[in-house]
Amino acid sequence: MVRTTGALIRPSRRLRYSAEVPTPRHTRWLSRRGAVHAGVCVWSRTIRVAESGAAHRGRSSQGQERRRLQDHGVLCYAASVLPLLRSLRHGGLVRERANGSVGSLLPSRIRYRESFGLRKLDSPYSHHPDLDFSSGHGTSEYYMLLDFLAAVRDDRPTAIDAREAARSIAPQSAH
Amino acid sequence: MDAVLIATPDDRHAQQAIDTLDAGKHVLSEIPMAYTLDEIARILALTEQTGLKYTMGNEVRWYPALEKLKRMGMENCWGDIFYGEAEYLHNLVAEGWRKNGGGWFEPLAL
Repeated sequence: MVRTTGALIRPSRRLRYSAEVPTPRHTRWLSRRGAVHAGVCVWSRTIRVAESGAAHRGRSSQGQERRRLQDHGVLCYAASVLPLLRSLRHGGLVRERANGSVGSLLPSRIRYRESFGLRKLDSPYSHHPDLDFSSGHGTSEYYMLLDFLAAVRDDRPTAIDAREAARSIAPQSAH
Repeated sequence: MDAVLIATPDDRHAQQAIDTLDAGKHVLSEIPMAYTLDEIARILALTEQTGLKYTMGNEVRWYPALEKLKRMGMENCWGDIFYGEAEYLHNLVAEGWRKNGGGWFEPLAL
């Protein structure tokens, strides 16, 4: 039975939880250096851990660096990568699409070490030769545009059509 | 011309989208879609009346990590999910896009 997240998670996972959520200070530090990080955690109870009553957490995380970060050297590289390393320490799913020069500093043995419980994400376009991996948002815009053009061609709704857009920025407007 | 990409300052997105839909063109608009509920209602009505395509360009939807997470959720990889949380860090201060009213494509806007 699920009542509140606090009752189920916080008492037993307080330290881990506080360690992975960026503090305001850390957020400001990242912001000053142009780092972008997006992460999602989900908690669920699975058959594997049900006997102990513990919760199982899956985490998906992605960080990106901007071109200008290269001007700041290793320090700013670390600023962007730190959230990823936090994810690595806690296990979960990590995928990062840094540009070539910066990304080469992040060894694959760290990114995808099985001892961390990580699973490398399979992406059909992760190494597409036609894509510039130094482009903004890790080339996500490419796929956004692809969806739009395909919707026009196939006469189907876009992934974020007007109603979905309205729902996301002003939920009361979509009714 | 069949479609228009709106990559202008935020406060112009809605009116330009409305004008574009009125002109019978598909719209790919940068975020945000609009500033007011009236603008949202107008865009909704136009897309439903005309059948033209509209998309709000929120590229985060296409992050591989998030796509994978959603897919795993749909495949019931974790069982019964009872809690979730998300974080997003972005350098809004240095970019100044909010202060200037510009969209995320501001540097590329024509």
